Amino acid sequence: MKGPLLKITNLSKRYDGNKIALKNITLEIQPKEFVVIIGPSGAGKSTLIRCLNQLVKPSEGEIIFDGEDISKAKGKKLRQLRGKIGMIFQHYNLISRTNVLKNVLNGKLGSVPFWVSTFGLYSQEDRLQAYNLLKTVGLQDSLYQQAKDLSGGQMQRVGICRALMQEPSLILADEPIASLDPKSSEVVMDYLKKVTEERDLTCIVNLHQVEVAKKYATRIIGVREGEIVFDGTSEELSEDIIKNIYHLPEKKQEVILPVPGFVAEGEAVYE
Amino acid sequence: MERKIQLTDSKSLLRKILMGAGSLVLFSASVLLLNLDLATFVSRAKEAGSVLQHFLQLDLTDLAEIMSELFLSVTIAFAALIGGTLFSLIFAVFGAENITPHRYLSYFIKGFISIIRAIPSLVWILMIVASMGFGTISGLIGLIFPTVGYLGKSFISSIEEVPEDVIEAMKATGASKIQIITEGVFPCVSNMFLSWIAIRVESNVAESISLGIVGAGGIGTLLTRAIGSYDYPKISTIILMIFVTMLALEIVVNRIKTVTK
Ligand SMILES: Nc1ncnc2c1ncn2[C@@H]1O[C@H](COP(=O)(O)OP(=O)(O)OP(=O)(O)O)[C@@H](O)[C@H]1O
Ligand SMILES: [Mg+2]
Repeated sequence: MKGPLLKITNLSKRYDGNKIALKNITLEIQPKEFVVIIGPSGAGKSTLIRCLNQLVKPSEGEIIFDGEDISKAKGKKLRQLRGKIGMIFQHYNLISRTNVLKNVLNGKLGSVPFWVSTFGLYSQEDRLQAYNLLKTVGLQDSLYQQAKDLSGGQMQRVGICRALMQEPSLILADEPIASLDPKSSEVVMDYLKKVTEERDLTCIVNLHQVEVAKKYATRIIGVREGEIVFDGTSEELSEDIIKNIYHLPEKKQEVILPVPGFVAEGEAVYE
Repeated sequence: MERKIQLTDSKSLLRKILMGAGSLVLFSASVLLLNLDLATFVSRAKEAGSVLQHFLQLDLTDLAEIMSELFLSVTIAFAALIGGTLFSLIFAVFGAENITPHRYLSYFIKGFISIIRAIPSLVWILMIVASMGFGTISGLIGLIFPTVGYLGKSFISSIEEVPEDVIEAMKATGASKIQIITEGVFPCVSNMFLSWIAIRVESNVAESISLGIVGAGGIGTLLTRAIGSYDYPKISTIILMIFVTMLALEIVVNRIKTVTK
């Protein structure tokens, strides 16, 4: 395919007519880019990513994905376009009482008729594909485990497999490692990077850890108060620029409370 | 210096006294208004011993009839349960606010279910009997109403508790409305639905028995007749059989509830 995979023009979002979450975003994303979006809490990162697959309806603007305007698509057309965009969530959003294999096969929902999913009539090829995906993330032994019995890191790997099962050309990930410990975070990011590179996929990830962003991104976009304030490579992201992205002049910075379990030695440890 | 420490503060003490006095007034007023004939009650109480004696006998000659009528009552209860479950499922899919095709449809269905619930089951059954005549079909239809009133409301609230997360994830894969329901919503609620249905089994059987009393067929009809003819041994036998049935049901239902936990 020639030209950008994603062309966003003058995208704005205003929730219920109140505060503006996105202001006039214009952006092009090329195939095979690994874009990380960073920015302070409330900057509009999630809103931006959710507008791309229309989980959030934009107030204004145009989003051309793969040559088609997804912001105008409805019904079947919209479902078909969404099918080409895999999504990974902070809270994994798996079906907890369904097994791992079926959770991955849910990625096929956009491309099979309803009776196939309802009566479990997935073809052997689809099942094998799901199995192979789970194997690449090291979960081939947990096929029939219920999703709720997995650890967070394992759940997120299932989430990645579900997204890949869609055979997407674009992957969106909204804070995929925000609920994980550092070790699982690394495993999940490594897998995400690996599978997208192997398949020549384009990936857009929201992160709030700048270090992680620098490590994986081919391009970093800094968002502040609904506007893009930085767009460049990891090398170009200097300390001053980071300060500028995270610095909110008028408003008071949110007070970050200590997380239980991360208290210093000798202090009380919460149960 | 000595200081008395009260266990409750005077404000809540006052509240308790007022509440006690209020209940006393309410009770006396109701008793007075009811015009209770205590004299008759006391004079009849002497006969209690002999009445009790009558009740202590069992009459097994009609056991076959009792069993078949009891079976009929239970069958009506289960048929109404299945019918009611189907209706409730349909209402729930269209009535739960998070998956309804239209918000107003959801309000309409919820309003309809509230109306069903506002009218006691016995009144529903009486209305159906009055319009369709005595018989099993009336009993069945009459019993479907309270079943839908209970299950419909429970199903809707279960579906509305399904996290938005799940629905969003399904949408993002390009799933259709039906797929979102069958693959996303149902797996989340199926266990809860099963336990709602299990809870409803007991009430349906109990109501099915009592609806016989108003003439909708089943063991209740037999019981009314036995009471009418002061056939104490038969009354006892019927009540004993009902008791055994309800006990058995409760055991089974509790099993199901623990399994679906
Ligand atoms: N559903 C909603 N309704 C109303 N306002 C919303 C909604 N979702 C987000 N907002 C507002 O829009 C702005 C941007 O929110 P968004 O979730 O996109 O930020 P974010 O950058 O993802 O933040 P975080 O890092 O905390 O996830 C915030 O001011 C937020 O309060
Ligand atoms: Mg966010």
